[in-house]
Amino acid sequence: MNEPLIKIEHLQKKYQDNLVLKDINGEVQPSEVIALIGPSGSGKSTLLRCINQLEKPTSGAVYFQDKDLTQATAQDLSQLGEEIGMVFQSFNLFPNMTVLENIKLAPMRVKQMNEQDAETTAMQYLTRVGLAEKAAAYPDSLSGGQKQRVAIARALAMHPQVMLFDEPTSALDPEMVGEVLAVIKELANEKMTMVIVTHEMNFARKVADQIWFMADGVIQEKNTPDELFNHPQEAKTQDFIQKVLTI
Amino acid sequence: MQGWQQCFKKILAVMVAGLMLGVFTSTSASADDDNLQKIKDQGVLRVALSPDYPPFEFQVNHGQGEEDVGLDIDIIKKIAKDLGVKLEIENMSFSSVLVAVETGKADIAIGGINPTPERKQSVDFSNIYYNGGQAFLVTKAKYKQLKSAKQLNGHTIGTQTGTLQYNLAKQRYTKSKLVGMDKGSDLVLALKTNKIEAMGVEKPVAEAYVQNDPDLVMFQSDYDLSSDETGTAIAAPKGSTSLIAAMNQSIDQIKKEHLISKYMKDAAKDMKTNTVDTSMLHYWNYFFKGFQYTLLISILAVMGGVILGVVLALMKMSHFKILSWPAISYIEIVRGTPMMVQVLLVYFGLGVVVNLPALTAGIIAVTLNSAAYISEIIRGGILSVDKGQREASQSLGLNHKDAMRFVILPQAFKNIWPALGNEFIAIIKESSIVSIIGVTDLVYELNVVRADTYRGVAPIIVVMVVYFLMTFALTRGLNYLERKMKYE
Ligand SMILES: Nc1ncnc2c1ncn2[C@@H]1O[C@H](COP(=O)(O)OP(=O)(O)O)[C@@H](O)[C@H]1O
Ligand SMILES: [Mg+2]
Repeated sequence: MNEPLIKIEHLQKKYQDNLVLKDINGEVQPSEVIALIGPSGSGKSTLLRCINQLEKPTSGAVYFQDKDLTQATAQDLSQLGEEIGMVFQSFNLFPNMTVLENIKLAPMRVKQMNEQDAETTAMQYLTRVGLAEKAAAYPDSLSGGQKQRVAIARALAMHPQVMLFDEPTSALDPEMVGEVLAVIKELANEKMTMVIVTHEMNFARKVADQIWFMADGVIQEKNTPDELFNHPQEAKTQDFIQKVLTI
Repeated sequence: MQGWQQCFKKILAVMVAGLMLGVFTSTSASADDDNLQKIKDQGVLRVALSPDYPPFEFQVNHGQGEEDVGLDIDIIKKIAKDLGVKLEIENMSFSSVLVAVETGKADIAIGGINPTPERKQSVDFSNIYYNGGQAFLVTKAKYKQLKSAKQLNGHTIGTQTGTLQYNLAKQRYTKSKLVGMDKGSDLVLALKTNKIEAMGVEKPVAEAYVQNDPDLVMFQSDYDLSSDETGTAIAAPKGSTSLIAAMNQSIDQIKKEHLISKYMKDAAKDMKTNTVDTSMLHYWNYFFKGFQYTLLISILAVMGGVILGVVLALMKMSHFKILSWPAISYIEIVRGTPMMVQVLLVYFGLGVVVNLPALTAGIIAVTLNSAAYISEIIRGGILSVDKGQREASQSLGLNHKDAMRFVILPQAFKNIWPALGNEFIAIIKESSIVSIIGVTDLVYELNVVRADTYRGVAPIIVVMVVYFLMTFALTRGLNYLERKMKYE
C-alpha cells in the first residue's frame, strides 16, 4: 500500500449553526482519481475548499503527504498553492490580464521563475489544452469552454501534485462540456491525482477510480464506479443514482 | 461595538492632547526675547501680509510677474534694511497674518493693522507708524441722502470682519445693522448692490477707491480717534521686546524724515499703473499662475491621495485592530471636519514642529483630506471585485500582497475609475481653500486682481470660467478613457 497523498480525518466544518461537514474521512492515493458526487448543498464544494484551506475547517485534520494543513502557517499555505491546484466552476480567470499573463503570474511570483521560463511553461500548457493561439487574448473574449481550459492550464503550470475540480463543466453550454472533459481525461491518463466534483455521471464512471457519494455533510458511500452505480448499498445512494440515471 | 467606541474615544483624547501640546509649545516658543537675534542670525525678516489692501499693500503687474508694493511694503523694506537683513514676504489672507506671527510662520505681520485690545492679547505691536483716519464710502446715488457720518445711525454699515472699523461702528452706531465681510472688494460689491448702505474703511483706502471707481463717494468719520489703537502698527510675537524696539527706531526715523508721504506717493503711482488697463486680459498671467497652482495642487493631491488611500483602505480592511482602528479613526475625523480647518491645522499646527512653506502645507492638507475620501472609494472598489478572484489567487499560492497588487487592485481601480474622477473634480474645486494660507491658487489670484483693478465681478467670472474649463476638460478626458478601457 502506498502512502496516501491526501488524508482527511474527522473533518468538520460549521458555518455559524450550520454543520455543513459532519465527519469526513478519506484518503487519496497518488495517481488516484476521485469523483465526488451528491445532491447540491451536500457540502462537496466545502470539502474541496477545506482540503486546500480556502476554508478553515472547524475541527479535524487534512494531511497533505504528512503535513497537517489545518496547523500550517501562512507560508506553508502559500507553498500548498503550488502543490494543490484548483479549478472553479466559474473559471475565475483574471480579467485584467491576457491568457498568457494569467498563466505566467503564479510561476513568476510564487516559484520565482524568470519571465522567459514562465512563458515557455505557460505556452507548453496552453498548447496542451489546445489554446496556444489565444495567448494574447483577454479572458472576456473567450468562450466558456476555452476559459475553463485556460484555467486548467493555469493550475497545471504550477506543477501541482493534486488537482481539485469543483464542477468544472456546470457553467458551460452543453456543446462545450466535451472539450473540457477531454482535457481532464487526458490528465487522468497521465496519472495526475485528482478530486473532481461533478454531475457528469458517465464521465465519473469512465474516469474515476473511486466514487465518493456525499449527502447531508457525510460521505455515505465510497466504491469503484461499477460497484457504486450498479450495486449502491445505502438507501440515499440508491435514491440519488436512480434520480440521476433516469434523467 | 462598545469596544470600538471606547477605542475611538481614546484616539480622540490622544489627538486633542497632541493639539494642546502644540498650542502650549507654540506659546512658550514665542515667549523668549530672542526673536531679533534669530532674525539677524538667519539674515532674513519674514513678513506676513495680504496684498489685497491698497494703498497699504497690493500687487503690481510688471509684465514679468507681480510684485508686492504699497506703503507697508516700503516700511518693511526700510526696517529690513535698518536691521541689515533680507526681506522675505509671505503672502496670505488677512485673517491668517496674525496667526502666522503667533505660530512662528513669520517674524512680523503688517497690513494696516490697528492694535486693538483683542489683538494685543495674542501679539505685541510696534508704535503707530501711520494714522490716516477713518472714512466711509457710499455710492453716488446714496450720497444724495447720506452725506455725512452724523446721518449714519440706523443705516446698514459694512466693514471688514474683526477690524477696528467694525468695533468703532458698533460702538457709535447702535441703531445700525452691521455687516462683516472678509474682503474690501466684497464690501464694495455689497455697496453697489445695496446690500449695505455705507462702508467703513481706513481713509487712504477710501481715497484709493474713490480715485479708481467713479461710482463711489467718501466722507470723513466723526469717531474720536485720539487713542493709539486707531492708527496702524506692526505685529510681532508676544514678548519680542528687542525686535519691537528695533522696529520703533526705524518708525521714528520714518516719521522724522517724513517718509510716509513719499511712500504714499509711490503707492499712488503704482496704483495708477495698475488701473491704466483693468481688462482681464491684461491680468491673464495672474489667472494663469492661479490655474497652474490649482492644477498642481489637485494633481499632486489626487496622486498622493490614491497612494495613501490604498494604504488606508487596506488598513481599514485588515483583521488586525491595530491597523484598522487608526485607519477608521483617521477617515472619520477627516470626513467629519471642514477642509479649511485641516488646512489651517497643517500650516499653523504642523508649522510649530517643522516650518512648511504654504504651498507644501496646502498640498499636504489637501492630500491628507482626499486620501480619506479616496480610501473609501478604493475600499468599495476592492469589495466589488468578485470573491472568486481572491480564491483563485490563493489557490495558485499567491500571497496576500501579490494578490492585491496584480489581481484585486487593478480590477478595483477599473471599477472605481468614475468615482475617482469625481473626487479629482471635487479636489480641483475644494482646493481653493488653500488660498487662506497664501497659496497662490486661482481663488487667491482672484482676490489680488479684484483688489488691484477695483473690479468686483469680472475677475470672478474669469475664475469661474477657468474652473469650469478645467473640470469640463477633465470630465471629458475621463469619459474618453473610460470608454477606451471598456473596449480594451
Ligand atoms: N461561506 C458560507 N457561509 C455560510 N454557509 C455556507 C457557506 N458556504 C457554503 N455554505 C452552506 O454549506 C452548505 C453546503 O454548501 P456547498 O459545499 O457549496 O454544497 P455543494 O457544493 O455540495 O452544493 C450549503 O447549505 C451552503 O448554504
Ligand atoms: Mg458546489
